[in-house]
Amino acid sequence: MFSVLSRFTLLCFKVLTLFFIGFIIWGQWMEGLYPGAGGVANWAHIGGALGGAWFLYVYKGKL
Amino acid sequence: MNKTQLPWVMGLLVTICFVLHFTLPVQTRFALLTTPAELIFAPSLRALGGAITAGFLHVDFRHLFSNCLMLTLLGFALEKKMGHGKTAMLLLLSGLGALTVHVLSNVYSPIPFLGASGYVFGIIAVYAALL
Repeated sequence: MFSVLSRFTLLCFKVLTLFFIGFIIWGQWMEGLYPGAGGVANWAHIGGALGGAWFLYVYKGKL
Repeated sequence: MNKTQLPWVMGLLVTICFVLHFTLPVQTRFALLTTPAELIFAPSLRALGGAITAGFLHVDFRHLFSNCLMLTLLGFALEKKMGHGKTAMLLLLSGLGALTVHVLSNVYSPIPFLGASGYVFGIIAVYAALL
């Protein structure tokens, strides 16, 4: 039962990740159509994720 | 780490976001904000302070709620797994990453920094990697 729930949660997060990638691409497209719209914030979102990657690099093998 | 320990770093961040949102009037919140152009072409302590403070401020309740929901759902679990120090470091690095990329990609933008989304996306990235 737990295994099924874990796999379901993992699937949900994969879908959510895809959703966020889509959200970022959508934001950039909107930025092209309406300068000053969502795309501005989405670059900050990408920056936040890069900060997370930076953290993973710093603490590689220590988490 | 003991899993019953309180994730106070993330709890403090969420609390600060809520307190600032409901105590500062909208005009004061927007007066505190900084644009990328201001930070690059007219750097000052006020501009830097505004950029840092913006990580705790939100446009409206929907913005606040969606960010704090993700911070609570993912952040609390992550802090219980990683500990307080590493969580604080993750917040620092993701905030710094968000600020840097935002400034570099929107040098002339008149739109100021606003929201804790940078922290949220840093947490999502680490959470996804540790799954």
